[in-house]
Formats: sequence, C-alpha cells, structure tokens
Amino acid sequence: MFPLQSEVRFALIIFVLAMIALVFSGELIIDPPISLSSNLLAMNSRAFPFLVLISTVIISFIFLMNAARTSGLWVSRNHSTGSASASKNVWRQYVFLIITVTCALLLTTLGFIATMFLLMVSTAILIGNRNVFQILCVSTLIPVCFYIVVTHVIRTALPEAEIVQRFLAPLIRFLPAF
Amino acid sequence: MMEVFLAGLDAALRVDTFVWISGGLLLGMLMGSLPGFTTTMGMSVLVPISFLVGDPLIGIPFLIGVYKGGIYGGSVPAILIAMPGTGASIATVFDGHELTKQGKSRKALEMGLYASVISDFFSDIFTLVMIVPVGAIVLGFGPPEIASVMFLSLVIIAVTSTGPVMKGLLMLCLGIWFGFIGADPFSGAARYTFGTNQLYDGFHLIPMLIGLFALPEIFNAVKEGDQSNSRIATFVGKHLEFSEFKKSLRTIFRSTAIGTFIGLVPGLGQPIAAMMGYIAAKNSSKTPEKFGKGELDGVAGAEAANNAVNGPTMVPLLTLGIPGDAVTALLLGAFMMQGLRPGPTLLETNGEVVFAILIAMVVANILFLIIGYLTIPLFTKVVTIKRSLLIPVTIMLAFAGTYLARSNPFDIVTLIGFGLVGIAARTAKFDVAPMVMGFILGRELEYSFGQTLALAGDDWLHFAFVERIGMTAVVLATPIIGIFLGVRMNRFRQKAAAGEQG
Amino acid sequence: MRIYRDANFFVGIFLFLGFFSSNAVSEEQFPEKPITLIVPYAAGGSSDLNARVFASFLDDYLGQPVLIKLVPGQAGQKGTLEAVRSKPDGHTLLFTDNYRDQLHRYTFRNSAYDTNTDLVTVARVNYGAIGIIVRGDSIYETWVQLEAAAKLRPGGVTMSHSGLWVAFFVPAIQVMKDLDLQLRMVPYRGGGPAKAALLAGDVDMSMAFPSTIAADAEAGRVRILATAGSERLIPNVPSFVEIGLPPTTGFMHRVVMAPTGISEKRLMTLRKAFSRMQQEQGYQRMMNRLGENTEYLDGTAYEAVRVQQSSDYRELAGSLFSQ
Repeated sequence: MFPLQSEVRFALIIFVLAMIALVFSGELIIDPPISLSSNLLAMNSRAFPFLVLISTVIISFIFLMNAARTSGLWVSRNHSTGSASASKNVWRQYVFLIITVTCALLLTTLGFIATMFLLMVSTAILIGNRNVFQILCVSTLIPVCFYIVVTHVIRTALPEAEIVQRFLAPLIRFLPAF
Repeated sequence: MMEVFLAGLDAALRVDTFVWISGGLLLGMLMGSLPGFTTTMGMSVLVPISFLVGDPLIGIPFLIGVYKGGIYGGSVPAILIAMPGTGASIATVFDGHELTKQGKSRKALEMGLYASVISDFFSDIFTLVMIVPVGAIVLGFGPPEIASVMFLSLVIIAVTSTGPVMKGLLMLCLGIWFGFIGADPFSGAARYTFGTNQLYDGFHLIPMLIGLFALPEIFNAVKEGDQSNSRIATFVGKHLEFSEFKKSLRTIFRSTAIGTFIGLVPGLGQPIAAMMGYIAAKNSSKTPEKFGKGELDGVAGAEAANNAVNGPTMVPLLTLGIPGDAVTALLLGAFMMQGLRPGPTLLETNGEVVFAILIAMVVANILFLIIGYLTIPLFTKVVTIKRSLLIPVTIMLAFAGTYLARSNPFDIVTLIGFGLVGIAARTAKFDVAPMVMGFILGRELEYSFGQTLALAGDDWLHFAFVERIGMTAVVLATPIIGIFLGVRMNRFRQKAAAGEQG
Repeated sequence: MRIYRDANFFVGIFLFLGFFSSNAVSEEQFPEKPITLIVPYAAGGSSDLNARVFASFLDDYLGQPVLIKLVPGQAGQKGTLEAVRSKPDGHTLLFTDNYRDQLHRYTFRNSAYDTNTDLVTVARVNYGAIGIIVRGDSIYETWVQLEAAAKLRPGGVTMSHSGLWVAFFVPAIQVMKDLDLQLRMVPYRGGGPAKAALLAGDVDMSMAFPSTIAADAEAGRVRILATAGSERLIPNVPSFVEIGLPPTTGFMHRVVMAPTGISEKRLMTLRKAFSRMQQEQGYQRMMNRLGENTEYLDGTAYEAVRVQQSSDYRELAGSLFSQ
C-alpha cells in the first residue's frame, strides 16, 4: 500500500469506503418508526445516498484506471528520500497529531483553559520556540482572556473545570456588566 | 412612491443613526474576525440591545451594520491565518493566504475591503430602487428553480476546480456524501450515523472549514520544524496600488451582479456566492493558472460576491415578510419587537421607515470603508508576530472557534477529522474546495429536488415544460455550459503545464 | 461518546455555579442564582423570539436573570435531554411545545428520556389555533369545495407544510385520517417559506396561525377556510369540529417545563411568578406585537391537557403505523 502514489492511495481509500457504504446501506440507514406513504414523503431516504455513492464508486474507479494507464500506480524509486532531517520531521508530525487529538478528547474533562495551555505549550515547543517566559505567558494569558470574553461578554458556554471557574469568578465580577 | 422615498431620506439622515451603524459595523467586523463566531450568533446576542434602543431607525440599522461588518470580518482571518471566519469567506482563503505568505497581506486585506464595500454599495442601491418590482418576482423562485440553479453551480464547480476534472468530481461526490450523513431532511431517517446522537444533525460547517483549511497550514508549519524566529511574512506589505485595484474593477462588478442574483434567490447564501464569484473571476482572467497561488483578483472576486448578497437577501423579508435564512429571521424578530410587521402592508403603512432603513444601509457602506481602512493596520500586525507564537495561538483559535459555533464537543471531533482529511488531500493534491461546496450544496440540492418532486406529482411532463419552464431551461443548459467551461479550463491547464515545462 | 453527554451535563451546571460561591440554597432564597431556560429551537425562529421576550419580563418576577440557552438539534431532543438530565432544583427550565412533548415519542426514535415521567409542567405560556388557508384568488371558496376536490383527486391537491411532525403537518395528517382524504404534502423549511409557496401559487393550500396571516387575510391575499377548535373564531368560517375533526386538532401549546424531582414549593414559586407576569400590561403588549396571544394556563391544569393529547396522539400514530 505504501509505495502507491499519494493520489492513488487517496482515491483507493474513497473507492473502498464507498463500496462498503453501498453494500451495507441497508443496515446503515435506519428508518424512523413511522414510515410514510409517497404522498406524505417527498423522497425516499435511500435514493439520494445511493445515487451519490454509486457516482463516487464510478468516478474513483475511472480515476484509478486512468492513473494506472498514464502515470503508473507506484512511486518510482527516485522519489523516496531518507535523510536524517526527514525522519526527524516525521517524528515531529506524529507527536503533534497525538497531542492535538489527546487535547481534543480531554477538552471537556480538563476544561478549556487547561487544555489550551497544554496544546499551546506543546505546539510552541514543537515549532522551535525556546523562550520559556514567552511560551508560558502567551499560553496562560490568551486562553484566560478568551475565556472571559466568551463567557462574560458573549455569554456562551465553554467547558471549564469548577475549580478554575471559582478562581476566575471574583475577577469577572470586577468587569462591567453586560 | 416618491414622497415616501423622500420622507425616508429625511428620516435616515440623522447623526445618531450613523453613530449606531458605525458601532454595529465595528462590532460586526470584530466578531466576524473571530473564527467560529457566526454572524447569526453575534446578531442574536445584540438583538436585545437593538430592542432597548427603542427606535427602529437606530436599532435595525445597528443590526444591519453588524451583519455587513461580520461578512467582511470573516475575510480577515481567512487571509491572515487561513481560517475562514465565516462560511462566506471560504473562497477568500485560496488566494488570500497565499498573498499573505508572499508578504502582500495588506494588499489582500485592502482589496477585500474595497471589493466588499463597492459591491455592498451597489447591491444596496439595487435593493432600494428595485425593491417593489423585485419583491413580486422573488415569489417566482420556487424549489424547482432553486434546485436547477444549484445543479448548475455544482457542475460549474466540479469542472473549474484546480486540477483534472476527475479529481474535482471525486471531491464533489465526497463532499455530498459527507453532506447526507445525518438525518434525512424528509423522513428523519438516520443515514450513516451508526446510531450516535451527535451525527444525527450532520457535520457542522465551521469546524469542517477550520479543519480543512487552517489545520493543514498549522501542520505544515510544525512539519517544517525548527524555526524559532521565522514569521509568516517579515513585513506587512505595501498598500494596494491603484493600478492593481483598477485591474480588478471588472471582476468586482461581475461579482456584484452574481452576488446580487444569489442574494435574491432564497436558500443559496454567501458561501455559494463567494465561490461563484471566485470561479467567474478565474474563468474570465487571462491568467487563470495564477489563481490559488496569490492572485489579487481572486480575493476581489470572492469578497465582492459575498458582500453583494447582504442587501438583496432582505427583499423577501421586507416585501413579503418571509425570512430566507437565519439572519433575516432574526431581523424579522427585531422588526416585530419594534412594533413593525414586515410584509406587503409595511410598505404601504410605514413605507418611509423601510426606505429610511434601506437608505441608511446604502450610506453605511461609506462608513464601512472608513472603519475598515482604519482597522486594517491593526490586523496586519498579526502576521509580523513570530510564527512560533502565532501558530499556538492559531491552533487555540481553531479549537475555541469550533466550540464557540455550537457548544458541541462533537464539533472538536469534526475539526480534527477534517483536519486529517485536509492534510491527506493536500498531500495527494486533491482540491478541497469542491468537497466543501458539495457538502453545502448537496444537502440543499437534495431538499429542493425532493420538494420539486412533491410539487410535480405524477404529471411531471406538464410540470417541467409548461409550469416550470425556467427550471427545465437551466437543467438542459447545464451540460452545455459544463462542457464549454471544461474545455476552456483544459486549454488553460495545458497552456500552464506547457508554460511550466518551458 | 458517553463522555460528551455526561460532560454537557457538567457544563450546564458548573458554568453557572462558578459565578457564585455559595452552594447551599434554602427554600426562602429560591431562586438564588440565574435561571437557565433551555430553548431547543433554531436561532431566530418564532420559538426563540417568544422565549426571549418572556424571559426578559420574567426576570422581574423571579428576582434573578433568566438566561436563554439555545440548544437546537435532533428535532429538539438534544435540548430536552439536557433539561431532563439537569439538577431538578428549579434553576433549569425547558421551553417546549405539545408536539414535542406528546407526539414525538412516536415519530422519532428516542430511548434517552420519556417526557411524561421526566418532565413536569410549570405553565403553558400561550397557544395557537391553526387555520386552513388558500390563496385569496383560489377557486376554492369554502372548505366543502376544497374537501370535494381532494376526495375527487387523491394526491391531486397539494399542501405546503413547515416541517415533519410539527404545527402544520400534524393537523393535516388528522384531516387525512378523519376525513378520508389524500393530500400531497410538500415540505418547506418553516412557516415562512410554506406561506410563500402558497402565495406564489405553487401549492393549493396550506395552514397558518391566524396571527401570521392577519394582514394577508385582510388584504385579501389569503382566504381562511376553517379554524381549529369547537367554536368559530371568524364569522362564516367553520371550525374544525364542524368539519368533522376532534376538538384538540390543530392546537400548538407553548409550555415551560421543569425536570421531575423539583420540590413542590419551588414549583409553586415558579408558577406564581409566571401567572403574575401574565397580568402585566407591558408583557401582553409585547406578545401582541409578536402576534401571539397570552392565554396562560397553570401547570396543574395543563397536565390534564397533556393526558388528553397523549391519547389523541397515540391514536393518530397508531393509525399511521398500520399504513
């Protein structure tokens, strides 16, 4: 799979997923408890997905055939590079992805400010900032300011741990009411 | 009519109205530039203020100012950090961010502002002058016509995307696929939701946009590794030259026309207008291969079109009392809270109020220009911040903006998910624009098509050729237009490929 | 995904608890912090507007701000679930309507809550009685004519509706069931577009609440052929009962509910505040401006209405299952 050209890989994944979606459309589309007659229901719930999925399958198939015919499916030998800096970069990418996903999952448990702090600090380090003071300052101040603006001015909810909220409550009370 | 108009003119020219409009414009721009904070949200937060003011000639223009400012404001993060502030700025990202990377952020922002102001101005004048006749015509645009226009748009988008047509079509289909995941709009059936509640409403547009456009940029920055002191661009860039601006005047007027038309048709909206404006600009340009690589004309085409939608969108509201989207629904409520009932009778009984509001809208554009121009230097400073600080802030904005849009933790999953899709697509050199448009248009197209089927009943031949000839004409013309554009784009692509190798 | 559902519950409570340090709430002090009114409707719609208006008046009668929390999604289920799961201390309320309360259990899959056991009515804020309308220049001048045409051509008469299982759709289903007609239904996104479709002549008939079409009816653009209820609301226009429908057809009640488990005393405090607010002239004037009436019904009285609806809708749904 890996020596495939990236375009081909992408199209192939779509092709396979579309096929699976088509084959299992019976189970994956769940009808509501009351089924209505055609006078009441404008269009069958399966018609449009079927049309779209079939088109996706056909188009990805044509694309794959075209690619096989013209430029070949596999990446040629000269394309692969194996320098040290390249592998170091790959490591960086994976770390970034893992941290981002983790923070996303922990957003509601740890609270907005804490998660953003972690995310910002790690991103800053990954990009190469070495100024500890700057990193800590920015990573604390900006989420806090944002939190205050959003919850107090715009009055929208942000997930936040109780401790942090109690801590910030007196500060918020100093601000003019909206 | 004329006396009513003059009475309206008299009522509109008051200092406090303009002060409030300016306030609204500024607030709107600030809110629009905050990703995830949609104009609808901002307006609903501010509706109580508009109501407290008590005077419809202040309260309503205030909200309209917020609306206009918001639509323009979305272009700021789109240009500076590749994060569309609202769905309307989707097409501005393509060339806007590239220009920033080339050190031309000021030019891009200024072009966006001038394009937005000019198109808004002219489309507002159109609304003012044509409100009565157009009001009657708007009723003629029903689901069949909407469906056919959307179908045409989809074909145009697929055919004119960057890269081979097959890739564009594939991304389009993928986008439509993402679009129908969720509840069936007719029966409520759960399609591909795997029994989860979160997916029942489908994916939300804002986290998808942020994920598709901003996250890959952030990821690239991380990939490039150690760059402790690099900036996106070392300088803010020079002002937009008049000659550069003049070159795009044609595009701006063309996009104004496109946006005005799309504004009149209920249910289409700014993202579609922006995309159409962009594509039209690309198509009419002598150098279409430059689009997507930092072409000012692209920014002009997108921004002019999305702002031109604002005025005409109010026509169904003011003439028939029918809101076309969430924003006009809010305005309807704001009107009612002031004791005015939009509809045909409003023009008869309180005509001068309606005209006054429209006139205030037209003049507001001048204030728009001034305020926008003054805020640009503030925004452009952003690009001079060290990348290693800016990127963490950007990613925080991505998360925060996503959560802001709907307060739904699942949106974060959408954000990351589409971020991964965006990264994969970029590596595989697939253009994500058709995917986004497929997502937006697919849902609407299915609904309009279903409505059309219901309206047609059994005797569809009669329906298609006698009752709704307009729809049939568009549908038949679509393949012809598609092929014509496709061939033209192909020729340009070959020219570009030859040019690159040469 | 359970973590998110539980977390939402946390969010709702802690966000507002965070503003105040005291946790103990004595009965005399209720309400001692802002009240959240969950509004499970789309932004800018008539329900949103209604809720905002009376929330702003309710502030004064409860002594604490009433904050609107808009939670659209899943046909109202998301917001309702949040209300059901909230702490039943009287500080979280739900704004809803009778279709969601009693009908949607049959039409939408939901295993997370049961409105009958999980929610108790605080008060019914107002109700609307729907009317059947045709275009002003339509060939149908009376309901009898329209009914005859519909019987003659099953599926030939088209009607625009505002969405599945809500205000226009349900009465239409009742009409089709009780009068043995077959209408062809064309969906639209909301009452506004449905009305536009009628005015444009795309459909033969529609439904509307009299307040939204008062101006149009007066100007002759729209003709009302029948109105809900047992009595005539308009001279020379038959009522639903007269044309053969049950007396509860076509009524949409807007209600405020609280999660079960709320103490009787707090429920009384809330109900008293609501009923006093109803008397205020300013409130009545504002609701009139919005085109809504102010027919208040106390919570206990409404519970009886709920029971009636429960059986009505069960019957209606039952008839559809067999199709």
